Amino acid sequence: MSEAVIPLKSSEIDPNLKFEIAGTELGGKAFWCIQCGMCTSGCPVAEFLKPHRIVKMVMLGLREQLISCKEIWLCTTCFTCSERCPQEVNPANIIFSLKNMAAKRGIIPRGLRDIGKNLAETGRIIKISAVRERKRMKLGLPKIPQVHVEKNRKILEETSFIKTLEGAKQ
Amino acid sequence: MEEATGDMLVVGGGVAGITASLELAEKGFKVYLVEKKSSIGGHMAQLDKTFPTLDCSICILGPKMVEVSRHPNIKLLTNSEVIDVKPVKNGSAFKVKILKKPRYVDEEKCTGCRRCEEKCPAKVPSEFEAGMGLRKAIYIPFPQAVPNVAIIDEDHCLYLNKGICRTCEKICPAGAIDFNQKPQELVLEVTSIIVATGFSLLDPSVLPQYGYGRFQDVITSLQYERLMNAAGPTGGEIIRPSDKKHPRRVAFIQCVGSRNKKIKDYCSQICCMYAAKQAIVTKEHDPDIDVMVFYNDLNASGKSHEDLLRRAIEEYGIKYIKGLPSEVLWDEKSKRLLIRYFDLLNGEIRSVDADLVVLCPAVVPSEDTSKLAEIFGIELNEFGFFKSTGDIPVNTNVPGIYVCGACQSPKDISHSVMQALAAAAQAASRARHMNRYKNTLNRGKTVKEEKILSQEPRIGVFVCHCGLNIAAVVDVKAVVEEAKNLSNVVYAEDLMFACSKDGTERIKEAIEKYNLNRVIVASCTPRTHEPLFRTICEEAGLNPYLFEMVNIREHVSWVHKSCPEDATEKAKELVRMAVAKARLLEPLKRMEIEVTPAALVIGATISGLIAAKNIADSGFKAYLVESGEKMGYDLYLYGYNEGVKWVSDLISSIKKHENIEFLPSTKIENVEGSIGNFSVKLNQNGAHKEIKVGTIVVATGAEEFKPAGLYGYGKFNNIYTLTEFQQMNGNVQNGETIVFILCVGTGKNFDRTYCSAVCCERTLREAIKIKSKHPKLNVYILYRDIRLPLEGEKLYRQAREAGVIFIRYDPDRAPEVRQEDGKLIVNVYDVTSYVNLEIFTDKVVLVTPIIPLEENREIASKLKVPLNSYGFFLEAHPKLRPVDFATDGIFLCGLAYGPQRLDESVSQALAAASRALTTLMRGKVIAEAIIADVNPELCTGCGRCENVCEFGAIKLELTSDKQLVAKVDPLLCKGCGSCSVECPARAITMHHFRNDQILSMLRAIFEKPAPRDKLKIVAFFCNWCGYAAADMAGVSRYEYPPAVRIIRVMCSARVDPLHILYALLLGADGVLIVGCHPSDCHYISGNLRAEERVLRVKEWLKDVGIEPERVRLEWASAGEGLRLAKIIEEFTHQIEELGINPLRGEVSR
Repeated sequence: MSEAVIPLKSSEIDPNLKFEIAGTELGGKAFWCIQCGMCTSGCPVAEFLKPHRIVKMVMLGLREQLISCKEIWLCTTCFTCSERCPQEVNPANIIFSLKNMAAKRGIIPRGLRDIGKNLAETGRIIKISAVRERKRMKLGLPKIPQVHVEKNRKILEETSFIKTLEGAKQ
Repeated sequence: MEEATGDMLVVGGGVAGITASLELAEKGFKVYLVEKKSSIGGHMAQLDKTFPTLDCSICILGPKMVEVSRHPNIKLLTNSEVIDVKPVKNGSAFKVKILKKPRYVDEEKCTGCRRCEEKCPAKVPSEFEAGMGLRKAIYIPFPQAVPNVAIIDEDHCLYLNKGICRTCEKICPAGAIDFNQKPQELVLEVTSIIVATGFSLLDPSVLPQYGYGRFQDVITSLQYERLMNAAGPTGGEIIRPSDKKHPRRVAFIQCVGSRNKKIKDYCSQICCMYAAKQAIVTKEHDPDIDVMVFYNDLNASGKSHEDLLRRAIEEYGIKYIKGLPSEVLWDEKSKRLLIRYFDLLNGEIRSVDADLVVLCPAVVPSEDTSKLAEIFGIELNEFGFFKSTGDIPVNTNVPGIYVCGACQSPKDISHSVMQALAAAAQAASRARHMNRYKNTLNRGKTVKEEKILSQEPRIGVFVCHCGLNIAAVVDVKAVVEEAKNLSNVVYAEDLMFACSKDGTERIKEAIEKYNLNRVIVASCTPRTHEPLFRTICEEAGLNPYLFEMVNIREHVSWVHKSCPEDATEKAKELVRMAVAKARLLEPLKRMEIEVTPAALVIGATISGLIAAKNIADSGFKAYLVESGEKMGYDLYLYGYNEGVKWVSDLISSIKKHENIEFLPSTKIENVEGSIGNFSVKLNQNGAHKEIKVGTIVVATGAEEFKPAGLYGYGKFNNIYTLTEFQQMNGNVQNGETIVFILCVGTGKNFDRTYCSAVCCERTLREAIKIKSKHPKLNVYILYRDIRLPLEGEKLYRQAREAGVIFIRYDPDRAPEVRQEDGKLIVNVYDVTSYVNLEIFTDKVVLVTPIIPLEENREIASKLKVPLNSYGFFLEAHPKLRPVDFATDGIFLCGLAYGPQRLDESVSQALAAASRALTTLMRGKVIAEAIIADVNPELCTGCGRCENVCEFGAIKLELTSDKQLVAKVDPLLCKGCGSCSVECPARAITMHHFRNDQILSMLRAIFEKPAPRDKLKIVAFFCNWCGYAAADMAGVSRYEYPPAVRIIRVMCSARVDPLHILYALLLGADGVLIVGCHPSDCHYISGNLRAEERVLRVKEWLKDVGIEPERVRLEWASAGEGLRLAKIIEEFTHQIEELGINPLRGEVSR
């Protein structure tokens, strides 16, 4: 999102976005933000992601720009911003909510899609290769316990995880 | 208990309590001032400087503290607490129980010599030094403490805790130590109570990320004040605690706990300004220190605050960074603090190392507040401060109990003083109303008949050690010996502290014993201590003008510490000069006149109405003159529509009031006279009328700026000012978009830079109103900084929660408004999200500043009072005299003073009323004694004096034998002395600064021939700026060469070309004259007169072959100590290069 003219015609913005996010289970009240910048100054990935700016854009109601932006996926979820925010805005959860919204619209970065696919197929976010198993044996480590792939898949189906994943744009 | 007589109780001895006490005492009430600590002074005594003028804080507070201790109507109870309050007589009075805790030192006996302190073995962190320094278990918290009496700290005294030691008892020369003291209970009956218990600062360790308490070099702003203070633990050297090294970078962090939902969800009001002050003072200490200030919104809404902030940024190069740091770390390798910050304005993430981090913690209620609320039965607000009830900010839920200062809400000194005066006004009018007023002030009684002057002067000289302040550099004993050998000096001695009770008693005794008729004290600056010593002389039966002061502290020991011998020689010479002048001193009389018991209030503004009502309620006639028709017309400027109930109630009560005469459509035509007796010519629609009043209150109000040509105003439809929008009263449709633009027509791109203080809150209120009516409205507020009072923060949150969108804009990239296809479009760059927004809107509301009335100029010139550069009226002193003018008897309030919030205007109106009432209630005015006088025998009637007098105090009059002769009005003369210099016939004598007195001082300088390698420079410094700057140089310990001999004159216009020539003839190597900066002259234009005269002298010098460079005129303000020291240094070097004055010794030969 480089500097750009963003026309704020009332038809093109969503004044409700901030309330919608505040109403989700994760919460995060963008409208409490006073743009003090404390979140960004403490953010470990602030070179790439500026939480105060995400919050500001939520306030402005720039739903489309937010959902399609790369930045929200860079959050390390360290929660420093939420911990320090003097207005209890909870930027980390706002970013979570935005990621959820994006995912529902089929926007999931490739890396995450792969992780999701692994989870659905093997019950783990990383595939365990035979090489790795052998290495563990050599080191005298115990076998990785089995997971119930089917049970796991059922949970993912029930929570529409699979559907979200399948809906992701390639 | 006898019948209540209107006695008053003031609780808390900070600047608010001090102000309220003095104000009530001056009105004639008996006042009990209760202070929990061992000295009065409060936080202000701890401050190094005050904003926005950078006055030395204790220098302006100290004299007030001394006044409290010396006031015959004030009973000071320190180390005491109120423990019970009960309403009696149907709530018309209060029975108050006070606990006076043991000091273990007899207040009557202790002389404040501090010998006990030297010997006491127990060391404790000093509360006064905010923990930055140590004190002993027996101690006097600070040098200017009032009372200047030691106290024993029960918790740390070895004897009281372990039964050993008792060293202090053995060492005390006065036998003042009393370990048997027990707590005492006192019961008083008072009519009113003023609560002024002040504030505390939040302990910043509740925000562990900033490292306070973990890292030594992270300190609070109050600790930093002590670190900067010349009398502080480091002697004014800014060094960091961990390694005592000078910092290369100091970083300030604002909003530490303020505007924090989890801690204190309000703006603490004062931090931005004191941080700007501290940043500037840091730069003044050492311009090479890199100073950074991290902020969120900058709150500079007070008068002249914005100017100081701009100076900090533009003149001093202090780096302001928008963005609060998330944490402060310690880098073990570099031994420096590390701040990772984000600059919102340029979007950069940076790390910076700092040597010192100064936190600006939230202002919080002081710890006893809730306990006191219970004792007094008064309510607290949601933030824990005392709650104001109704529309008067100083009123509480209990009639007769008032609150003022920072215990009511965080506020700066000016506003604390205004509220203190307002509380005094309320308390006084209540007492008058209940017939509980008796003027118990009768100073005449304690003063003995003045001695008749014997023919021969008998001079007593007292040289003060000021502890070690003077004695460490100047050989005090040698100065005493020098004085003893001067003719007419019949007595000389040295005193440890001349201003202590002990010292003043010694002076009084000596006056009696040696039959002294002139007194000289060589100690500190007369600017703070002359009034005290004059009173001492008066008490000893001596006319106060037979006293002369020598400044050997600020002008000698503090500025010449690296050359003690020269310093001692200089001190001796200054004493010789004072003795020379003292021989020629004569008693002066202060004229006493009766006061006309009525007041004039100019302007029926909200503040004018309140002032008039308070004066009238107190039983005096008030004329309320209004050039328009309506009462309270300026209500809209504070953001209220008509029909506010308390205002309509106020108006109807004024209409009915028997003591108020309302004169609408009336203009002031002419004002004559002075305090106590003004005669004012009025013109009411062509009908002339003359009224006589004792005092005048200026309450003319202001107006809203019309932004013609800005943002399409007047060009496109649907663009309004805020007032116009308010008057449409909700003419908006659901679903529309409204854009408010704040700070229109103000800022650095305009000639008007000040903040209008009310706009943010006004806009919020309007936005909330329309948004709650039409939830689908899109509301944008384009702002620069959000500046809100305590309660305002709630409005801000409410607006945000309602969905109002705030966009911060950069004045250099100001929003643009255009119209396309009949639709308004606002383009704005959002500085915190880095996007250019294009807002399609239906209406644009321009929020414009409050501007002064055009009629201010006319009124100012008629009253002969000044306006500031923007056209608002200019008060006498921004901190301690916020409603006074330099001209006595005329006071100021409301928007005429400058933009302020409604509650501030109400307080200020009451404050102005209080000041006006003090004169009316006293019934007498005592005129200035140091004034000019014309010898009619010599006067030629040329009228040149009349031309130079800015006060209309000297006028030509026809005598009975038809001669034109100048005459001085003693009530109007301010004593600048310009007329006496201007007079070609030398017919005018400027008393106390007479020519013969000044010339004799000059002769005293050159009495002893100076060695050829030592220069002597004569300096004439005006009392208000040059002399004050020299004092400041002293307080700040800026050294300069000891060649200068400073002669104090009231104004640089008193310096006669004759004085300059005479000094040069006597052998002065240079003559330096320092006056106020061109617009700052205390006497309006005296400095400009001085400039003309000095230029003339330089021309003459050229003709007679003396280098004109030997004479120099400079301007300096009271705060420019460093600059003055540099001027002196530079001038001395210049003279050195010129060589000694070739005329040296010519005259005596």
